[in-house]
Amino acid sequence: MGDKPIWEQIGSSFIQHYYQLFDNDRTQLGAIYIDASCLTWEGQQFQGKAAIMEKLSSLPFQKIQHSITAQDHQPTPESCIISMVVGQLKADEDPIMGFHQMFLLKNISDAWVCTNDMFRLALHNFG
Amino acid sequence: MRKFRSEWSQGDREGYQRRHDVSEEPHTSCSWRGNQRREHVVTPPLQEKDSSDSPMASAVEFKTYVDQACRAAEEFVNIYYETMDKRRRALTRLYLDKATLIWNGNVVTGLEALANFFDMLPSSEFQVNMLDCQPVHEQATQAQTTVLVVTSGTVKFDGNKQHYFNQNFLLTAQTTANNTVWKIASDCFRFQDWATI
Repeated sequence: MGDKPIWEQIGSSFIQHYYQLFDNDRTQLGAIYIDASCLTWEGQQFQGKAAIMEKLSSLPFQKIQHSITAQDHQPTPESCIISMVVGQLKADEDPIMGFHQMFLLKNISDAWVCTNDMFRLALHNFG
Repeated sequence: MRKFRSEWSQGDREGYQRRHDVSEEPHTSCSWRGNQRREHVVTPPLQEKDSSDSPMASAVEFKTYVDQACRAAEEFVNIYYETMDKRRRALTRLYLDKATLIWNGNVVTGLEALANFFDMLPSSEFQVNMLDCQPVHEQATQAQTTVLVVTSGTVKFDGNKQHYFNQNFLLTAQTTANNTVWKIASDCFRFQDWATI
């Protein structure tokens, strides 16, 4: 049978859950982070669930919608899962922007949490 | 109207590019220019984290730990793309034996498969514009020092059309008394091609 490997199933479930929460009510994202989690958001570092949630809750848009173009999942040597997402998003009435995001997921007490999260918009206006 | 661009991004977007202008001093402990012909990425050993109780001390330590890990990551990234572009046959030396690469959705596992893959891949010209990195907390990795790195930029294969790309690496460190050797455990590469609006 062509069943997807378990890490792909877990990874894609997580991704779906994450963006659904993010788009509908991102204050609910707390459950996926722990005190050891790190977020790098557009180059800024945040450590710990509280700091991360503060950042995400304070992002300056009312409406947000993510659309995933591609996602890749791999198991890591330490039984974690690394997931990479490439897609587009639209915040309020702004033009659509590309983004990419990477998550490291770990199973702690039977729940998959995110220990590392790195987000970047795909802006191409360097120099 | 792009009002949210600046609000999304209070971080250091130009930082990586600025640091790698030719005229600037590199801020890693060994000059990256001198290491261009290395086949492995070796850095000074990462300092052990003390188990201190003071939150202030641990915040400072954490930041130091992050900085060290990120400097190692930057050095790694420079060597990786240099090797990819100019010494392609040496590239697999930067991977662990059981490393996996996913290249635009194609899974490549193990050194032999990686060697074949890189052999078939046309010659490349990479330009990295952005780098982010995070150390992975020991809770997640059972004491093996691990760093996550995300890069993005542009690449041309065989002198053809330029593509935007994103790549992420999971690097693990093998530490001895004298140095730390970094290798790739996981690698994931994708083009980020634009739908023209």
